Amino acid sequence: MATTVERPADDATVELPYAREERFRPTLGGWAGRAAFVLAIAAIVVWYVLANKPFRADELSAGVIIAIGALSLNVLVGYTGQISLGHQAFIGIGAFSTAYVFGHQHYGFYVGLLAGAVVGAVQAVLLGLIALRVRGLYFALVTLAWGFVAENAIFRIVSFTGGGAGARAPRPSGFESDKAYLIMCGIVLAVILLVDWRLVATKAGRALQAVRESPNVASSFGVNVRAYTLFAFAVAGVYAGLAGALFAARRGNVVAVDFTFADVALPYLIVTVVGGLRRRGGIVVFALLYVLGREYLPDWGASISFLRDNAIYVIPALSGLLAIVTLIFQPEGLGTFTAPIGRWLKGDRFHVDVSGGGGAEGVDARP
Amino acid sequence: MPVLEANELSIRFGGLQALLDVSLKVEEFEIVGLIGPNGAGKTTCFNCITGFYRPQSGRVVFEGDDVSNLGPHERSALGMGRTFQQVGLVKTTSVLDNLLTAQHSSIDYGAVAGMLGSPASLRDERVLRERADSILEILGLDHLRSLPVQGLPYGTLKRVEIATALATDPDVLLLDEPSSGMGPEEAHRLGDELLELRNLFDLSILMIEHHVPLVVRVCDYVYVLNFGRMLTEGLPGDVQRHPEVVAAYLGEEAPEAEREAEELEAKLEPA
Repeated sequence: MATTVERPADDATVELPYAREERFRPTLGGWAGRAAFVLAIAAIVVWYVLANKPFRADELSAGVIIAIGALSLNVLVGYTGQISLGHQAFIGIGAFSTAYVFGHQHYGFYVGLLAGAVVGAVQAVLLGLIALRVRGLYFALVTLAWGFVAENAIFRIVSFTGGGAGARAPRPSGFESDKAYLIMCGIVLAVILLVDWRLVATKAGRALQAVRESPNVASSFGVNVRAYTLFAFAVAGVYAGLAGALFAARRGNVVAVDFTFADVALPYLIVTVVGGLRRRGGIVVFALLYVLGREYLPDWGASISFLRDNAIYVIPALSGLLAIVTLIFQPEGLGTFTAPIGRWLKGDRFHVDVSGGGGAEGVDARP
Repeated sequence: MPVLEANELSIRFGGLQALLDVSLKVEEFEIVGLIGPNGAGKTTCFNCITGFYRPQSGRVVFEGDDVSNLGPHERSALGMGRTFQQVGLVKTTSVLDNLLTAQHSSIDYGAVAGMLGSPASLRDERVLRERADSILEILGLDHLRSLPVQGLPYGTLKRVEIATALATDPDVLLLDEPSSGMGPEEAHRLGDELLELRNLFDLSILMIEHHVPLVVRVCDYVYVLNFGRMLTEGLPGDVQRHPEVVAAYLGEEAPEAEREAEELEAKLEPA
C-alpha cells in the first residue's frame, strides 16, 4: 500500500500511567488469621446453638426470614435494577402456598417449602413478563399494584388462604422448638447464600450485571436479555417463596393481615438498601440487627416515656430515616464494612473504602 | 463465499430514510472499511447487520445462512463480534470481568448449574480466566486486568472494547470507529494491531473509520455511504481519489459543490 508510514521504533514500550499492581498474597500467618476468624464466628454460632438459654431464638428466625426476603429483593433491585414495591405478594404467596399444600394436600413441611419456592417463582416470572415491557418507575408502580392486588384480593380467597382465620402451617418434626427452627431457617439461609454467591460468580451473574447496565452491550456479548431478565425474576421468586414458607411455619398459622405493604414490602426493601445492594453479607447482618433493634428498642427506651408510648411509630420512622441517610451518604450500605471482610477472607488486603461507594456502583443504587 | 453479506438493507425512521438498498460484502480474511460523513448511516448499517435494528427490507447472510430473523445475542453467538461508537463495556466492573462476561456464548455449563456450583462450572471458570488473560496479553492490556473500566482514558477503552469483542470468539469483527479518541501515533499502532489480530484470530473485519490513513493502510476494500445510500466502493486508493467521495467526505469540495456553496453564500449575503 502506498501510504505505509514507518512505525516509530520505540512507541510500543510507552508506559500507560498506571501502577503495575503486583497481586497481593497473604503470608502463612495471614491465612492462619483468616482461618481463626472463620473458626471464631463458627464457634460463636455453635456455642449459641448448644447454650441452654434460648436467646431470642424466635426473633432471630424472624431476622433470618427477613434476610432471605431481602436477598430476594436484592436479586431484583441489585442484580437486575428493577425496583419491587410489592414484595408482600412474593412472600405471602409463598407462605399461603406452603399452608395450602399442608391443609389441602396433607403434605409435610418440606413439600410445602418446595411448593412455596415453585409458586413463588411462577408468580415472579409472570411479573417479569411485564418487566420486559416497562422499566424503572413504571415497573415499580406495577409491582406496587401487584402487591395491593395480592393483599386485597388473592389473600382474601377463602379456599386458598382460609380467610380471616388463616391457614395452618406447622413446623417440621424435629424442628418444633424455637431454637431448632432457627437452625432450620439458618440452613435455608446458608444454602441461599451459597447459591447467590455462585450466581454472582458465574455466567448468570455477569450476564445480569451487563443487562442491568446496558442491554445492548449484553446482547453484543451474546446474552439473551429477555431470558436472563425472566431468570432473575424466577430466582427472586424462589428466594421469596422459601422466605414465605419459613414465615408460615414460624407462626404456625398464616393470616392475610401479616402481608401488608407496611409490614413486609417496605421493611424488606429498607433492609436491602441499608444492608447494601449487591452486598449479601451486609443484608444478612442488617436483617438481624433490624429485628433485634425492633425487639430491644422498646425495652431500652422504656425509661423515655415518648419512646415507650410510640414504639410502633418510632421504629418505622427510624428505619426509614436510616434508609435515606444510607442512600445519600453510603450507597453501599452496611456492605461498605462487610464487603472488605469478605475480600480479606478471600486473600486480599483489608481495605475499607468509606468514600461513598466508588462512583456509579453506588449511584445507580439510587432509584 | 463471503463471510458476511448485507443485501439491499433499507430502514426508515419516521420521515428519515436512514438506509436505502445498502449492500456490502466481507470476504473471508478481508478487512473492509465503511466510511462516510457524519449521519451517513454507517452505525445504522452496523445495527442492522448485528441485529439491533430490524431493517424494513433486505437480508443479512452470515457464513451462508440467512440470519435476518435472529436477535443480536444469537448473531453474537454465531460469531459476529462488534464494538460500539460510545464504548460498549460494562463500566462498573473490571477489565477482566468484561472479558469474562463477553465469553458468555462459549460457556458450556447452564446458568442454573453455575448457581449450584457444578464441578464443570468451576473448571470452566478457570478456563475462561485463562482465555481472558491471553487475549489481554496479546493486546498488551494485561496490566489493566483488575482495574475498573470506569476511569480509563477513552483511547484505552476502545482497545479494551476490542479485547472484549475478541473474547466473544468472533469470525467477523465489526468495529465502530476503533481509533476515535486516539492520537495519530496510537491510531497507527492500532492499524498494526488489527493486521496482527486478523492473522492471530483468523478474522474478517468490517470497520467504520474516520481516520483516513488508517483506512488506506489496513483496508482491503472500502465502501462509502452518503445520505443512507452506497455512494461508491472499491480499493482504498481508488476510493480516496473518487471525486464524489472527496466532495462528500474528505472535506475538500468538488468543483460543483464549491460553485453551489458560492451561490448560497451570495444569496445569504444581503441578509
